[in-house]
Amino acid sequence: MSTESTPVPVKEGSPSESSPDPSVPSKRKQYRQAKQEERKTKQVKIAEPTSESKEAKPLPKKRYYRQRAHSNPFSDHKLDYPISPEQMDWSKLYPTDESADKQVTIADIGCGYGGLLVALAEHFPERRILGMEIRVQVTEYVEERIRALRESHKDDAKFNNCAVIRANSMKFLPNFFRRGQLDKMFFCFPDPHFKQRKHKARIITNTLLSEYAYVLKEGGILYTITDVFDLHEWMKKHLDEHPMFERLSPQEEQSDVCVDIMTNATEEGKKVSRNNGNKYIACYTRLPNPEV
Amino acid sequence: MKHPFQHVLLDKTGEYFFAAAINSVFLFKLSGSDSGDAKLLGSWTDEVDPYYTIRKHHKELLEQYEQQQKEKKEREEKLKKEAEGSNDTVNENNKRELVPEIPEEQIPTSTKQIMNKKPKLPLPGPGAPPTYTYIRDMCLSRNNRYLIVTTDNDKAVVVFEIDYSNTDGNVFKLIKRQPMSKRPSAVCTSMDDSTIIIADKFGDVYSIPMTDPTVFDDSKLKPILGHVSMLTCVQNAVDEEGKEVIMTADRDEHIRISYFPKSYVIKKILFGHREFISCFVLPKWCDGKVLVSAGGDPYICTWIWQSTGELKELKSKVSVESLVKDKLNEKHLAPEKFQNEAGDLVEFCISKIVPLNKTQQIAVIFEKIPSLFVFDLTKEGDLTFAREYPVHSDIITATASNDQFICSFDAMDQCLQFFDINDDKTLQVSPHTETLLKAIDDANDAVIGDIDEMIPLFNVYYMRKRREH
Repeated sequence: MSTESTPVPVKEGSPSESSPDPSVPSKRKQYRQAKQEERKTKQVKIAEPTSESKEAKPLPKKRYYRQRAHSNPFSDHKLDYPISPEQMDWSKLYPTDESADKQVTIADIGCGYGGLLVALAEHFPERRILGMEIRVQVTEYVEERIRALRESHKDDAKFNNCAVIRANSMKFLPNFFRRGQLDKMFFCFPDPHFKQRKHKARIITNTLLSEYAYVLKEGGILYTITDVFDLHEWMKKHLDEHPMFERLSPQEEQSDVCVDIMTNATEEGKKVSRNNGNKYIACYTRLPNPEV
Repeated sequence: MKHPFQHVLLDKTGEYFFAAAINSVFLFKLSGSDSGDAKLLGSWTDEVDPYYTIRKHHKELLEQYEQQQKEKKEREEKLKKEAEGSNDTVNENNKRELVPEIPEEQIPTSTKQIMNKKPKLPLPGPGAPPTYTYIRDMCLSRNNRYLIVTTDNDKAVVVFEIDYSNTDGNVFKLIKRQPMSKRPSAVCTSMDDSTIIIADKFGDVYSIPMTDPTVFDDSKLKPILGHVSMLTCVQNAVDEEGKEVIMTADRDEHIRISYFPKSYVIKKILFGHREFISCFVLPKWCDGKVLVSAGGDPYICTWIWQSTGELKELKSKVSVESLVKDKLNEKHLAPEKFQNEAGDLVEFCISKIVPLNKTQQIAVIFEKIPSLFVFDLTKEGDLTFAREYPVHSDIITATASNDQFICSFDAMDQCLQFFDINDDKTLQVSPHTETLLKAIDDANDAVIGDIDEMIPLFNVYYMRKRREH
């Protein structure tokens, strides 16, 4: 989705946002460009410390990174992905994380604005967490957010264990992760794709689940949460039907700390709470490979 | 004007030759290399109406419309009756009930809107681009008894039992015609020939039984595995442990190997391509251990796919750029929108690989290039270029049996070329080409008026990804 073609919701009383002269970039574009230049590279990269000030770096402003909620997973995006997991250079994403051969074990698929990613990074300081998001500007926002967090937590070296990447995980998940590499996969408030003929674009389908089972290790957990009841039923149905997944018991689901984080820390989760919406949760464990 | 053959297929013995032109399949019996005669055993023409999909879609819409009209009428009558009945006793409570309560199932949703106009069948008028009815893929079962073809208009898989002994022209005995919800792009059979494996343009793979004539409702069929990318090739094979697997190749550079029938267990994924994969083969002389794949990349990959070491499967990448570099012409220029400033960006791709069992070689066909390239392939998966055979026209497709190699051309005058495969690893134009060609050409009744009516016979290059944003 290119910046130019994306319709920008314009608020009343902000003339700079709706500049009639196309040669003058909008405020949001200017802001993003400035941020981009600041870090010089598109990938998250903590360069040499730029300032010695102890002040906390401000978080990026979300309003400059808004993008419509849908992205077509079937189109050919300009994506960077490694030919195979072996060729992935993780040091770019986790530059200050000491253990160089450490693997990503937690993936947040469709991480959105990164609320869960950041919360998980705090909760699991020993683990590497990767957020994957298909929307360019949203990914940029999360990059900035992580960068700001890392800067302001230089002292306690927090948030070095999380990163984000623009990716189409429906197509290229196995390019990033080896078989059985992942421990936890999160699918939080995915695009519901209400129309019947769009159902294949949903992130949980019986054919994609085989791929998730491939990258998840035995006993790994797949978390889903949504505020759309129909989608919840759909995800449950497909996961129940898939021979490689088994639902956690209600006790297990309740006692899992990740469920709590996922329910309360994601941006979407907070929004649903504000609107007094329902949240439907289903978590599944990856069963051992059957005898083939 | 005779239409060239978009698909050719020789059986293992080299005795029977299948050729598809437009919507017809022909079966010829070739009488060996000494006499050079081709006898037409029979043919089948797909007669399903080219507007099948439009009609089917509108049939549903029309039915929906009629149903809705009926419901509407009933509802109105009911309301009318109620209104009349309640006129006598008007009181506050009753009045409220008069407001018609629409049952929930009748509330139109965004997908089920009430139609006020009767839908019209949008058939193309004069000047509209032609609708093709085209046999897309053809596959012979391992035991040579069944022919499976995929058709265009109704996206069907058609299964025939072949009665080779039949002499009255009816060699193709139709078992079933299974329509699919998305267009099938590749078919193969399971190792025991009991099941047909169908891969479609949407990335899903389905399985249907071979001999059972039951036709399933296409919307109820469930995929046995799926990619989120168009599938280009599917093959079943046996792995190092003797387990059956399905191999699927897609437009997103992946070759996936899943177990069969437990296809939800992915065995491995072969990584190494950077562009779409148009085809792969498992040459016989390598005992099924070697897989050769190619497509939009300027190289051919060979894989020891059974290797147990993680991700050590890629044996070699053999560059082919130098072979075809000086053969590229204006037909290979990239589309205008994606052209470079100098306007000289050329793209080429491999459309098909044909194994030559007798000489342990593979023949490689490049799209829109009038030359055939033959490579030596060892049992260990080493691939080396051996020889080039220039031909008179661009090659569409090719097929081989033990002694014979047949090429199909994008040409009106000579649409086929017959080669004998010699023991000294050379191909030699068969001395009987002319007689064979005449016999086959005479039988081919797929006639078109002019070149514009011809289907696009080169259909691999468009899979190249353009990555716009």
